Amino acid sequence: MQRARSLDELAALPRGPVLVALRHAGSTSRLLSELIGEGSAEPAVSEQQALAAFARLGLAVRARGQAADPAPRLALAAATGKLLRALLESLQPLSSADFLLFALEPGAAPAPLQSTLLSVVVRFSGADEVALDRTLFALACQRSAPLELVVAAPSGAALLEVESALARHAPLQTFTGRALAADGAHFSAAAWAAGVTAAQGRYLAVLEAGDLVYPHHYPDLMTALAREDAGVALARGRSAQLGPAPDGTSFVSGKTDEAALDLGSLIRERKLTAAAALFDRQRLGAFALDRLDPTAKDPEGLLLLRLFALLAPAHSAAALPSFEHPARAWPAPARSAELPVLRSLGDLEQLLALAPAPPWLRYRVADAVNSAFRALSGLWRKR
Amino acid sequence: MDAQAPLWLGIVLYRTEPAALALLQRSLDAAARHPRAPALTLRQLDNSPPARNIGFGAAHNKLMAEAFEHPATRAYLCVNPDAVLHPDCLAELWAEAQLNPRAALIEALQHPDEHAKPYDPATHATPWASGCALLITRLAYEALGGFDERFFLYCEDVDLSWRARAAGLHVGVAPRALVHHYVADRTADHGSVAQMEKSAALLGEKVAASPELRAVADLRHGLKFAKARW
Repeated sequence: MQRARSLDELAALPRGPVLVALRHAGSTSRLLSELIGEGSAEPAVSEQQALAAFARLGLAVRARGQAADPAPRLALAAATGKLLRALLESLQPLSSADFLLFALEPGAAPAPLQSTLLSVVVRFSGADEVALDRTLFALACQRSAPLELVVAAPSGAALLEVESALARHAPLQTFTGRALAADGAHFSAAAWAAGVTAAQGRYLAVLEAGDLVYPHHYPDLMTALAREDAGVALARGRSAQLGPAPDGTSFVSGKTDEAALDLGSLIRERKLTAAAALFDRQRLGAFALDRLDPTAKDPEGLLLLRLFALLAPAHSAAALPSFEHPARAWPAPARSAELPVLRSLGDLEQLLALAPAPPWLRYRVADAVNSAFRALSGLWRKR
Repeated sequence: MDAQAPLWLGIVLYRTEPAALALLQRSLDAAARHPRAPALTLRQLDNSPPARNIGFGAAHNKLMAEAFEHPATRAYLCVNPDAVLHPDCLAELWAEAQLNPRAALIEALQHPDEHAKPYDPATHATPWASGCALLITRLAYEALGGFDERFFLYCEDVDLSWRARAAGLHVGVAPRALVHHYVADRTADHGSVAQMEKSAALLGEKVAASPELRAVADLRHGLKFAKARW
C-alpha cells in the first residue's frame, strides 16, 4: 500500500482504489477553537474543497464516512461547548465531522444536476403497498415535467413491490422511475440518504408512501421558489384520518386542513413534514440535504429547521392545501431546550453566566452568539 | 376493441387538450390490459366547434343508446376527458358492479382528493354518483333511460342518481377503482357558474314536483347535494 500526505502526492499515485482520511476544516471543534483563540495549526480542508480536488484528479467517491473527535480539547464548560456545537451544527450539519473518510476510485464525478428536472424521492418501508401505489399514481398525474421518481425500500419483497408499482404506472409515460435498496437500522434516514444522493434533479422533494400530492403542488412550489429566489418552498397540507373498511380497503373518515402555514407552531409541535417542501438544490449549494439525524425525535423537522436557520422559506401562494398525508401520531411537542436554533437569548445568557470560564471568555462567546442570533432573527423577520 | 364487448366506454369531448386526451388513452390501454378487466368498446363524441354542442348528458345518451343496442352490452362507462384511470380501475369497477344485483350506477373513487360526500364503508352506497367515471348498468339504462337532456352541463349525474335511488336501485362507489381527477384549483368562469345555477334550479324544480325524488334527494347542502364527511 502506498501513502500520500498531500493532494499533489495523491495525484501522483498509480490509478486504483484510494482511501483518504482528512481533518475537516469546518468541524465544530475547529471552529470553536478559532472562536476562542485556540486555533490549531494542523492543516485541514473543508469537504467541499476535498470533493472539488477529487473531481479534478478524476477520482469518484464510492463511500463516505465521518467521525467526531472523541475528546476535543476546548477550554469551554461542557454545557457551553454542547450548546455552541448544537448551534453550529444547526447552521451546517457537516460541521459535526472532525474527520472525513473517503473511499475513492478512478471514475467520473457525479453527473451535474439536471436543471429542469423534478426528482421526488419516495420512502417505502414495505408496510402498505396500497399506500405506495396511490402515492405513485398521484405523482404520475401531477403537472410538473420532467419528473423523476426515486423509490427507496428495504431489499427483498419491498423492493420487488416498488419495481412492480413503478412498472404498473410506467405506461402513462409521465416519469422516469427507479427502485433503490435502502437498508440499515434506521430505514427512514437510510432511504432519505440513498434517495437524495441518487436523485438527479435540481428540484427535489421527499415523500413517504401514503402521502398524496395534488396536481398543482409542485408547479405552485416552483413558482414560489422562482418568485422569491428561495432555496426551499413550503406548501400547506392536510391530514387524512384513515380507518379500515370491512372489505379491507382504507376508508377516509375525515380530513383536517392546516389552518395556515404557521412555521413556528409546526416546528414546536413537530408537525413539519418533508412532504410540504420543495428544495432547489442549485440555490442551496453545499447544504447537506442528504443526511437526517436518525437519533433525533423528529429528523425531518430538524433538518428543515437547520435549513430555515440559514434561508427563509418561500411559501406557495395556493389558496388550498396542495398535499395530504395520513394522520399520524406526531412526536411529543418539542420543549424549547430541544431546539437549539430557537433557544431564547435569555436562556443562553443564563447558561453562559453559569459557565465556569473566565469572564473575558464568557463575554467573547456571548458576543459571538448574540451576533449569530441577531443574524438569524433578521432572517426570520424577513419571511 | 370489440362491438360485442360487455362494456362500452364513452368519452364526450369539448375543446379537449390533445395531451390530456393522449394521457387518458394511455391509461385506458393499461387498464384494459388488466386480466380481470372486461372486453371493451371505446366511443368518442366531440361537442367542439364546428359541431353543435348538444350538452354532456345528451352526448352520452347518444353513445349509450348505441352501446345498449347490442344485446351483449352489460354496462356503459362514461369517462371525463380530463380524467386518468388507474390500471386497476376497469377491473375494480366491473367487479363492484357484480356485487349487487340492483347495481345501477357505480362511480370510481376520485383521486388524489376524493369527494367529501359520504359513502357507506360496508355497502359502498352513496347519495349520488359523479359522472366523471360512472358505470351505468343495463338495468339502470332500461329503468331510467339515461341522462335527462334538459341538463346541458352539471347536475345531470345527481339527477340520474336520485332517480335510480327513487326506483330502488343501488348507487355506489367502487373504493378500489381510482380515477385521477382534480378540479379544485380551477377557477369557474361566469358561464360555468351560470350553467351550474341553471342546472341546480332545474334539479330543484324536479325534486319539488316529485314525491319519489323528494324521498331520496338532499338539497340541504347547496350544490354539494349531501352532507360532507369532513
